[in-house]
Amino acid sequence: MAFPILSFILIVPTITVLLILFCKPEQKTAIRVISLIGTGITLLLALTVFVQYDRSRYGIQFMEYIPWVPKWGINYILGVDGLSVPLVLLNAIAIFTGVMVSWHIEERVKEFYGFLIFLATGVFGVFMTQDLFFFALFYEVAVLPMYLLIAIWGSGKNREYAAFKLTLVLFFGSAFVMGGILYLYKAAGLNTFNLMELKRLAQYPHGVQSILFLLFFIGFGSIVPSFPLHTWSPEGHACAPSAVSMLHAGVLMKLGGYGLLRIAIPLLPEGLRDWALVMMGLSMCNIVYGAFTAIAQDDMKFMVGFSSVSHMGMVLFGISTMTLTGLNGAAFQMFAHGLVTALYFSSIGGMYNKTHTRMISELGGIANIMPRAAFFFALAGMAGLGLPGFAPFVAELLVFIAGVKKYTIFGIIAVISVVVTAFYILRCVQRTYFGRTNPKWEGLTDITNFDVIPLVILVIALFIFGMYPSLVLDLLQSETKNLAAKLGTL
Amino acid sequence: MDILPEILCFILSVVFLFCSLSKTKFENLYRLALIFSFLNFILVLLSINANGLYFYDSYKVDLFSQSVKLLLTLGLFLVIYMTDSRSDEHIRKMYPEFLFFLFTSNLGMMMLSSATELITLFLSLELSSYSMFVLAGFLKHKRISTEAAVKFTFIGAVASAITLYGYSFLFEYFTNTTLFAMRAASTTVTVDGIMVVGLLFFLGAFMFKLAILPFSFWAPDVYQASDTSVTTYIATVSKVAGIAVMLRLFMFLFPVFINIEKVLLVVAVLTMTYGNLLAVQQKDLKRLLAYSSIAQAGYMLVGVVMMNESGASSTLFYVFSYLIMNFTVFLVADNMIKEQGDSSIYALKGLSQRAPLLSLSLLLALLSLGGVPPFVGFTGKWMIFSAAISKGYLALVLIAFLNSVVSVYYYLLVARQAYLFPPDIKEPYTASPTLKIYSYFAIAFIIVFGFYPTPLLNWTEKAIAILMSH
Repeated sequence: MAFPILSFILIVPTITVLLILFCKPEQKTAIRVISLIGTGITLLLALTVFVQYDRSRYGIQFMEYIPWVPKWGINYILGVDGLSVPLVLLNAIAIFTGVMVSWHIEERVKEFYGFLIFLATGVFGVFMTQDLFFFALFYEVAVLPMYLLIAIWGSGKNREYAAFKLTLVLFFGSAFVMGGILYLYKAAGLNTFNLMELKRLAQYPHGVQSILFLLFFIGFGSIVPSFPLHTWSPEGHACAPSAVSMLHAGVLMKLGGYGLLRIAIPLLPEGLRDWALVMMGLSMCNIVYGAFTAIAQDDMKFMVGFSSVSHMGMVLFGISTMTLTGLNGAAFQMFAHGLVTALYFSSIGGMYNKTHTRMISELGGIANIMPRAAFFFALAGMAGLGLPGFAPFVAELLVFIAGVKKYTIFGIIAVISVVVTAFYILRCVQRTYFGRTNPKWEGLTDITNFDVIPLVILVIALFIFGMYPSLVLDLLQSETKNLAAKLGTL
Repeated sequence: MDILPEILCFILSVVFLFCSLSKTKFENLYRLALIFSFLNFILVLLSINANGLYFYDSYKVDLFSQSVKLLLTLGLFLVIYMTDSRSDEHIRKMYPEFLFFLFTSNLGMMMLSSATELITLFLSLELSSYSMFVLAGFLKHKRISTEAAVKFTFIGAVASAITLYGYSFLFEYFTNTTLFAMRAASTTVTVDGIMVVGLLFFLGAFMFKLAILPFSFWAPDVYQASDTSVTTYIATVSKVAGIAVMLRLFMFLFPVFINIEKVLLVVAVLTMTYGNLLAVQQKDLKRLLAYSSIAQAGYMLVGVVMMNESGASSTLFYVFSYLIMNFTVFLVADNMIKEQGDSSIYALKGLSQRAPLLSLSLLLALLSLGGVPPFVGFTGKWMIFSAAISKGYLALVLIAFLNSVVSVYYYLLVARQAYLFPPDIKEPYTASPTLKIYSYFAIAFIIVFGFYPTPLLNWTEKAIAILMSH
């Protein structure tokens, strides 16, 4: 048997969590170093998977198969295909940089890193498993630590409210996902949760597909987040500590889009056809409403939070076009948006550690005092508003091409939203980092060399995948092609 | 001897009864009870593969009954462990009597899990219930305790009366009282409306034991007012016995002639929704757990009324995990309540900083009760619901999953006291070594069987297969 590299992507963080558990709370540096080493090894493993994945044949690779509860059709199956490889890498990058960004946390360090890495383990599991039982198992693992992470280490007096709202909305969504998965299992009549088998053999009548797709749309939609279930997201972002915001916006929200692309669309293509217009309408709400709300925000994290709502709307919009280009755009947008928001939040976090405020109106001229923090936020902003050369540009372009072709007017509205995005990002950059220096902030020091490392990693990733998108796009396309074929639009 | 555990249990209760006549020291009795209840557990473990019919077909010992007894004796041991020297003065003063009732009640429950004849069933039921009525009123100096015991007794008596009324219906149709004879005769019986009504009446006392609507109104008061050890006993051990009887009836007798699945599913949905919605408002930890256990009984009922193998084995699986999860919560809560003399959820304030291990085990147990993966409570629920969905109840499963979202909310309300707030008492809480060992065990159980349920599930499947066989 080959080296079970995917299992190790789960085992290494688990061992890291266990090691942290057995540390004394006072050994803060030891805990941080253990976390860094653990996530570093995981990142190396994820990179190995990314590089070693055989691009000449695609499909599920690195497969591991262990019968688990045979009678109930549950098998431990890990395997990655073109869709999951980039997301596994994204998660590994996010958690590795997240550990570095959280270096300054002094309060209850042990529990913080324990929960953070536990959360990332769950996300890895979701991206790698090919069995629906394990999908469900990992899916909520990713949600729960979020509550404690935000409620204990978050900022702002609303943090508990935000944490509760996030947890409950996501659990509300996952109730539909669980019900949907169980019904998928039953309706197929194959007595298996094996997703590959189901994709190959299961036949669902049109009516069932329609109902089930609705369930998955509500369930995954709440985590995407789709309008009108998005309200947990900006609030959760704003109150969470930087590393948690990074994981949250960078990876957790991708679970929704991933679930749609992985489970709902391949198994229920007719369901998507029934609900595509609804999805398109809601995604337009996301894009337009998110962008305009972002303008009105004074808190930088809220602004980024609403811009995430708007950009994740692009994912849904891309899916709703049901074309290869649109699906490619949607999948690529998930990857690109993950990197951008991670960069946003880590650079805001670096500044917030010094100023203890994120209110645009209170800041000003920060670039004079903290040139590095300003530089990286500006870079994130440029990437976020879709400047060519960065990954999001490619993703949004694909979505727009597909969108304009399919829903002319709405496609154009989506394109126009980029202008709005540019407006609020540039205004924020101008007001926060340039302009008259607020004397209150004089004497603050810039972020340290160590703080810069995670930011540089993220910028490099954004740049590489922006200049050379086919590195990821080819991978994604190998899967989206199958989806488009099922949807009959290839 | 297959019924050695029952005999030991009986002898012990008599011994304790006589102890009450002399002045035995509390510590000695405590040690004696602990040792012998553990011995009882071992005896059950040794007889786990026993198989036999006793007393003219009225008492069946098989893997199923022994598995249930394993849980019952484990529960008894842990409950006795809880009544240590820090427990209420009234309990310590009348400790022999307390133990007497505890053991008779446990004897009743053990018999309940083996009884295959209706009169035996009823006698064991009453034996276990009446002892519990007394136990509930043990804190004589508290008015609410007496009030709760009276409520408990009245509702219990009504439930028993209803059950007896149901008996008369059944006897009318079957003219026999052993389950084997009834099963054999069921082919010739015609099922009509009156029979269904009789059957539902018949289930009354068992629903009372499980605190299923409409027999659940005693639970919050009794849970709140009794001593924590008694509350724990009622919430865990007694539920196990109730489910055991239900499983025997629903798997052995009912499926051959009748289908009352739809009626009881409505009851199950109402029960879980009622329990979960009312738990949200509670500030008293024991009262909250009472409503939560009502809701949990609703989930278990779903598995029972499926009347198929997968439903029953997953219910038994869930019962196993339910016992461990609930004990974890109660043991931790009990320690805090004893320390602070306050049973509100605020007693747990800052626990994570004072006793990280206890706090972690509490958190995991609560989340597991709420059905959060990757813990055992999730896996158990998943199994039960997948049994339900295999019969096509999509709406039921959605409601049940949404219910568990509500339950996560109030379980988190408890957990947040432990994790988000600074403690009132600053110095660390030193738990006894045994409690620490139990905590490690519970954490391991909750995670390992959540992730890898196969061994436990194989066991429960085997037990159910034996239960169904003739």
